[in-house]
Amino acid sequence: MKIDVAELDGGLTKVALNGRMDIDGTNAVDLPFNTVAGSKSHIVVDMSEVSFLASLGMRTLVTCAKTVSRRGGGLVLLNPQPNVEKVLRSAGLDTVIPIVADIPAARAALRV
Amino acid sequence: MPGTLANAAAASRWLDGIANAEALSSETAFALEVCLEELLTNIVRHGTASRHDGSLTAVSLQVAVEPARAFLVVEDDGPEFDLGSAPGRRVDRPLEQLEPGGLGIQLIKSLTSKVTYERLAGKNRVVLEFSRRSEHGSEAAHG
Repeated sequence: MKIDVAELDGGLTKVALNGRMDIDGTNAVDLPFNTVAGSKSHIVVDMSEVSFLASLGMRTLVTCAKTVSRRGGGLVLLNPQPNVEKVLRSAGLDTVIPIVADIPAARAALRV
Repeated sequence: MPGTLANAAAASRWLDGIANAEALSSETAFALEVCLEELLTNIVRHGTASRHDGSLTAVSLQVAVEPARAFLVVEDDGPEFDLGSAPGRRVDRPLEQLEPGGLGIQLIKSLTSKVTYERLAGKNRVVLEFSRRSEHGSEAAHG
């Protein structure tokens, strides 16, 4: 699994995840993702290339969102694939980590 | 197979091969794979980790596919855990109060049409049933 980080205008950081966020994939991105969450305040996580997600991957998303939130920031999920979005909503994760369809919606949710 | 996270990844690839061979829809294959990962990570965490002699929980997997349903059968010789009676937990509190983890049972229950649990001869036996009706359109849905 790959993780790419890009700085966008207005203090928004885009974290693009790519691959299967299964046991191996989550282990691969957990540390770099947490490192980004520890230093950035407004993060949009591009989920469009994530083809698999279960509770282990959700744990990483929750941990990073909490890290950012503790510093007064926020984290949103951008454009997940239908199967991934279904499990996010089944778990109720969308109630604490908003799911958005595009970057303007991410900016609106994060107020940046 | 021995219950390790490395084998869980291998089991996922095995299941993916079956999904392709049986031409399961993306939705059904995804549901099977999520549930397999949830069950195996649970077995490794609570089964293998609880053993003091260093031995590994023995796990066996079976998949069966019928026209309208698919089944995932997982047996392990770890501590008794009645998945059928265990409550699923959705996120029910603000992010700041949320503890990471604990969502796996909810995912299994939301993705399956039936969960059956038995404790037989010192083993947990979980049978998960998945509906394939959405794969076949209205004909199967009414049949």
